[in-house]
Amino acid sequence: MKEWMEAAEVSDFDRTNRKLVDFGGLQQIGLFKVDDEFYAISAYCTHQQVQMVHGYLDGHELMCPLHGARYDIRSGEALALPAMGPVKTFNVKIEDQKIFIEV
Amino acid sequence: MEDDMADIDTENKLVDNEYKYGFVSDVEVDEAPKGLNEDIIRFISEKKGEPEWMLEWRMKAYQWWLTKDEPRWALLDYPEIDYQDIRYYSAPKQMSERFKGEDGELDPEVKRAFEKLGIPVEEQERLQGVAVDAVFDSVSVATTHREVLEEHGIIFCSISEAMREHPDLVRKYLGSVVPYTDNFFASLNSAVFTDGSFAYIPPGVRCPVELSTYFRINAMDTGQFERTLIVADKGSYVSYLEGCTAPMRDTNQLHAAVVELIALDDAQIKYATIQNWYAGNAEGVGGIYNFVTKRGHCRGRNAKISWTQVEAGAAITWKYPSCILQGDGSTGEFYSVAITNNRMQADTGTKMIHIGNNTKSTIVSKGISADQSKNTYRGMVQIMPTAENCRNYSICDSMLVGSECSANTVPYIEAENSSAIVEHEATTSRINEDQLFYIRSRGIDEESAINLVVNGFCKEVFKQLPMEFAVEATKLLEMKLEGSIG
Amino acid sequence: MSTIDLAPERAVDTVVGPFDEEAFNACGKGEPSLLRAKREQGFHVYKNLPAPTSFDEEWRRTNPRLFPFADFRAGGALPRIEPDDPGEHDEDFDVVVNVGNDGYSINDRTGAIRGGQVMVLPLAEASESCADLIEPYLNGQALPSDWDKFVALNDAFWNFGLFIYVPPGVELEKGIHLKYSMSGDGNALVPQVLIVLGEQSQASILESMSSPDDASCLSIATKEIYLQPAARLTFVTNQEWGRGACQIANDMAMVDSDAQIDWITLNFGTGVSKLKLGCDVCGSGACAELDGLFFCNEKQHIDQKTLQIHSAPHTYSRLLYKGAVQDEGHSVYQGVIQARPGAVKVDAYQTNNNLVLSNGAKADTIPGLLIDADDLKCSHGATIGNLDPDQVFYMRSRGLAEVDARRLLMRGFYDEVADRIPYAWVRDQVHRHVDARLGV
Repeated sequence: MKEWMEAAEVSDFDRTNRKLVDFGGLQQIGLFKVDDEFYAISAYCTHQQVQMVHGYLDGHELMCPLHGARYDIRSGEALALPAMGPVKTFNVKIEDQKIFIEV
Repeated sequence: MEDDMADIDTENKLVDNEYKYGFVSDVEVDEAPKGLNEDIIRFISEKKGEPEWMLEWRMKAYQWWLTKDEPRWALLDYPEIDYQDIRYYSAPKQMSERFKGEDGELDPEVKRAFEKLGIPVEEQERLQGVAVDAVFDSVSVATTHREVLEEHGIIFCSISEAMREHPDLVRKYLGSVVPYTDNFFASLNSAVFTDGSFAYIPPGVRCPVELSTYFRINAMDTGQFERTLIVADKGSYVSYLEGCTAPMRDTNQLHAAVVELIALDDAQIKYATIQNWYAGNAEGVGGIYNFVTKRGHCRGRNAKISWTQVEAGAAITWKYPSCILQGDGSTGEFYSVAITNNRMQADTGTKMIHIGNNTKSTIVSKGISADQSKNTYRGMVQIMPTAENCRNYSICDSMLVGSECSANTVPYIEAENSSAIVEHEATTSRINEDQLFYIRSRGIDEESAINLVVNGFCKEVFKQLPMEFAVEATKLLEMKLEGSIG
Repeated sequence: MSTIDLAPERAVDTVVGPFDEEAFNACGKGEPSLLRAKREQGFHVYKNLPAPTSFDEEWRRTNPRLFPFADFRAGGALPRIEPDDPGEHDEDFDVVVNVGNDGYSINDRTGAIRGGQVMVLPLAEASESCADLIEPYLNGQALPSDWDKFVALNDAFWNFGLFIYVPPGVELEKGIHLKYSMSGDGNALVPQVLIVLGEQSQASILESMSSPDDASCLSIATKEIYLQPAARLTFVTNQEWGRGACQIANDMAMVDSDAQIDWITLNFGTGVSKLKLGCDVCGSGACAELDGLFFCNEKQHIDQKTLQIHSAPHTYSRLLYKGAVQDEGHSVYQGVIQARPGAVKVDAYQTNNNLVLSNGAKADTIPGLLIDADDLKCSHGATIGNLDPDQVFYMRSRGLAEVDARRLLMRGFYDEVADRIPYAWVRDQVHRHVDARLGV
């Protein structure tokens, strides 16, 4: 059952382009801002399940800092090995300067 | 001590069961100073006459490598490696101004070295049916059979040459299977590799000869970092052999290679290695450190990649030839015999990653440990959730010869799909006494009896090798086990 | 919701949840010095071991974040209370120990304790009334404090301690039932159980755990079992904690010469559990038979690591762990057979069979062999698959509905181990669990 949960405020992204959102348990989501659009993907790399939100962001490409797996944050698609498969994406909406993620 | 080692007489003093490749060739070399920094990388790139994009790639790899720690999770015990105490470039001087051996005169010492190893580098003496690319220290010195291959549109040359003659091909595929970010040794290799082989088989072509590369480390204090890239286009077939040896030295030398194989739709690559790097003496002094990343990508449907390896040397082996089975219907195979004796240590195995549907993988690993050596099989079979109807069958057996060695098996299996079938079995035991007794009762001496049993143990792997290699592998095993029984 | 530091945490912290210095100082007040010494040593080790993170190899497949340690209190020592009304199946046992949120009771049903056939008493009492007897087993020979962060935690913070002793030569007729029934009162349960069987003695013990599904419970347990020469123990763990429960357990048995342990572990409960269970056959002729069953469905995560350690020559161990995963269940099984130097003429076998019943469920299996001796035979096998479609087809062609065919095949799969369970009603429970999860 999906619901919209508050993740951050738009102003949080004034000085950064990303945030690690923690909804408890193993629900950690990477929230990114690229060219005024927001994208949300699972925080864990599909290679060895390490948290990769602090990896290198090049346009819409996120590279996991451990072994260099790359993902398109828009579709979750795996772009380079050792990413074994796509990473889960989440819908994002903005209401009243607050950012919500559908989980 | 160094003078002793360079003494040609050493060759003549070799005893039958000693490492017969342990000789040193007296060759004038062109070399970089020891140590690793951006200048050395520029030096290497320049020596090779590489395009700008290649130097950029090397630099990125070097920067990445600086941020990483050496992996120490394997069951291997060895002292710290001083990466600044290694020479990253050493080439036979006569070769350094030329980049191909074919047209120029080969340094006679180099030629003699290869002849002694049984590798013919002159066209007229070439091995029937085997094209050879010979690599001496960091440089490819000769490649045979080139006209035959050219007729079929097959490209087989050193990777440095490929970068100049076929840059688009190299740029498209290099690092796509083993990115420079993959692991510590792959990053190092990406920054400083000096040569290796490149092969491209065009669509529908069945390579008429076996391609092979023979690596020979000669200079002291150097590291050998070769990079091999083989691309089999749709519907093609190639069988590739790799051999390697090094002189006997007191110090350890580092060998960190990367091999990338790419098979497109319906293509097949067979890759066989007989690794016989110097393994150190009975006290564990000297020997090569062999840290290799080998990976095959079955990119297309029904692609097939087979790895066959006979690991008989190196003081330390860290090596996991793997297959990424992405194309539906693709197949990965891994056949391995790893034999360790004296104080050798091996941590080797494979990874089979099933991403596409109906993919299959087979793993047959045979380990033999003797004396005080340590032999570990480490493998991974992973079935992704969207991979339907995949099959894996693995068998990993270890044989212990002697009471002070150890054999470990650590297979990791992860399955996330309900239609997958994975079967794994492993047994570790002493050499079968009943079999020995039976053979000896037929009048055969103990050593021959043991060789017979060991051969039986390994035969499933040996039959994957081309005939001449199978014969060499059998002899190699015999040599390794000599004197270990008791 | 919180936004935390971007780079993933590396181990800096040593405190797990509520288990800090203050909680330690509240533990074990007025304990005999023998126990106090062990507790302090445990805390000393605990303080110096880092808290687990998913970067540790042990926790790579079971993220410590799955355990909500911070939601619990360390919990004071459970008081002893009078036995309650008899429970179901009590008549099958000589002694019934009931552990609940309010306290624990020891019911000497058949007078076996009074008659000296067995000793079942709290650790504190045992270290006073039979200090000489218990002392040799308090040095952590089976489970030293530094074995694992949670063994050290248990050594420091245990709030329920039990000592079970069967004197030499005694054959306990009906055995012991150690029964945990918890509800979610916010206190962590930290039991430490020490079982010793004297030479040539024989006993069977059933350990069961349950809690309501909606109750939030945490159990961090250790069990040390010592079998003296020629002793025989049949031990069944029936873990049926509710879905709201989390469990971390470390169990180890030392099996001396010619002794035998038959240990069956049933893991059907908890939302997330991590279990490490080992046997060291440390005397010539020792024998260990380890069996396990599990079923992870919905979002269950069960991580089991088994150790078959052979420290002596002429020893035997056999292990069979089987189970299924379904829905989003995730099971991790790691099995190690270790033959120490000098352990010759050893026979050790390990088999792990997994059924993956739906896509998205995950079974990880890591069978392992670490062999440092020769002249032995050790093997392991692991399989992952689904129910054999040919067999299902065959049954359906004989008129069985698909759901019944699957149920029968699952029954057959589980019965290989379930048939060895000595308690018929526990066997029935296994069948009921499997049927329920299959949706029958």
